[in-house]
Amino acid sequence: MPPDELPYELVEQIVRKLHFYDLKAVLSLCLVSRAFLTSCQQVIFEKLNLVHRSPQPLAAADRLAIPSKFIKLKETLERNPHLVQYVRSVFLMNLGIGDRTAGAALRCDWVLDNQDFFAEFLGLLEDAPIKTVTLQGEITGPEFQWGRFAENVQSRFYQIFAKGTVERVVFHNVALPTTFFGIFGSAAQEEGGYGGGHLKEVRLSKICWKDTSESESRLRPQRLQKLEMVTQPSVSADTDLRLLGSPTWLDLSSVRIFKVMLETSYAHINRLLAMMGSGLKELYVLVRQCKSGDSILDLSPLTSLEKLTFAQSMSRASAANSPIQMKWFADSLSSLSRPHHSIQSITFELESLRFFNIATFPTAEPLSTAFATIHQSSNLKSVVIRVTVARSVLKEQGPECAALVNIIRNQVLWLACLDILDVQVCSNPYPF
Amino acid sequence: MAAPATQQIKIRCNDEKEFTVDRDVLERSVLIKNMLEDVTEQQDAPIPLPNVSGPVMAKVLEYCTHHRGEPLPSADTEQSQDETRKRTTDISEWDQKFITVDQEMLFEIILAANYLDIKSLLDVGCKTVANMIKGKTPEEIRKLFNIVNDFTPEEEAQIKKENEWAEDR
Repeated sequence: MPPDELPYELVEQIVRKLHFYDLKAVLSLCLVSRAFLTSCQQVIFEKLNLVHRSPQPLAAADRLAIPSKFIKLKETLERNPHLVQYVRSVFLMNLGIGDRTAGAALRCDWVLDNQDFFAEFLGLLEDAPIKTVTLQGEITGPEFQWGRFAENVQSRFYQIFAKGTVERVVFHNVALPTTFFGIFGSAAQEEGGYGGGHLKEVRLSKICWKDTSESESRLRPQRLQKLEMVTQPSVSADTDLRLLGSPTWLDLSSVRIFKVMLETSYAHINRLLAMMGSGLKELYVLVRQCKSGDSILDLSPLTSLEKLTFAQSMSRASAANSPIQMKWFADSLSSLSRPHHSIQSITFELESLRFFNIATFPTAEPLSTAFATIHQSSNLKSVVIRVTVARSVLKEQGPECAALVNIIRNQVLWLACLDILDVQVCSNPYPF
Repeated sequence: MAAPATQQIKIRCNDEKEFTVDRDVLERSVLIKNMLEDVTEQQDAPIPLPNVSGPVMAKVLEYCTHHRGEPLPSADTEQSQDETRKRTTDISEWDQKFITVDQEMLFEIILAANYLDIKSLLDVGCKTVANMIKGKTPEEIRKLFNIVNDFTPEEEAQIKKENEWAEDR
């Protein structure tokens, strides 16, 4: 049986795997026969990545021309409205790079230099079932000001946001007006009484809020189930969290999954946790830097928490400055209210990559004490301690890694005896 | 003390070929797992699998036996598993050897994995086909799988034009 005779859903799976390897391969397969056409074009048009490699060198006063591929894309969408139906995601990166002559070559500044074209382009997407919108400013530079979009571009974006298909927004280093999330709420509230339309997931990193006097518009997406935040040691990080943590700005009572990657500001996170309270089912906390004097996470409001993951990622810098904080984890864990009937699974992920050194690996004993107090009054079913190391480490230090598993098991032996402890040392799946 | 005996389950393929297999091996298939959970009493009659032939089932069972005991993806981790699957291009050495079969068998395995709902096997099968396709021109792909080009030259030109924007991504 040739693959063109497979059921459609299997052809689709093969195309998706192929897409991972290479879009060019999908473009080839698309021309093989009718059997592959739809599934290939669905992948080709699924994510409109509007990033373009700018010509170098670029003078400060240069106005960027519209890249020919986006002119072709616009023409194609105009002539073939059925392809608009395949669009699920719009992606813009490195918007508004401050110094045009420097910085990343991959950028979206052509959008800012050709806003009428871009507004028309967004207008074509009016009927697209867009689920994800990603807007990123410069990775490490001044934030991109939302107000740099012309009014016609802003209003096209608002149309997309207000329509109710967008489930996920990802913003990085963007300065947003405080009224911004009101767009999601107001339109949907008028239609069906649900604030936030279908918005289910918000991922914010290094966001800066502008015009803070306008406090009337709030993010009240009653279906918002997942909130992801990445804080960075920047001037605005505290501001982000403080504003998000204010009840007049954000209704977090519907959030079920909260994923936060912390560089700083633990105290503000506690305020968010208090707002999520008994609604929160899953909490993932990734710590990059942690000092012994930092306040612990207060988990006491999370009376219905089922799944808790603490993770620490060890970069080269933080390996030296911030040792793995078993005690901080343990103290935070001890703040869970007791009796705690809902907690079922606790995971510790320690990513030490190339810096693995069994001699300096911290003891898991503080965790043992914290588990003991929780376990007495809970339905805890699973505790996983996972240490991720580089492939090369696992290859070269296999016996040491195996020994570490035994050491940790012995330190938390009573959990191992209850058969709910799983200690793993695994290799990082991504080659570097 | 002897370990408790593993329950043995009988299955019957569409060519009447029957297999008697340990329950935990068969439960790699979500379809069979659900079937077994729905049956409260001990059943002696073999479970009919009308969409799978004996030789294909033998291969599927070889895979399930090798991977017995590994955690199955649960419903709530499905999304992240999918993400991981999408990202991971590697096929393990054993899986690679296992899936080195002729094309006919490869596609039969994919169909069986889909029918039996064995996600990891389906994944290996689809990745293998994707590996065979990558780096080839449309004509080479047609030749490899013996596929007839059913586009007219005009249609082919039109599709090329539609996809042109993506070529310099």
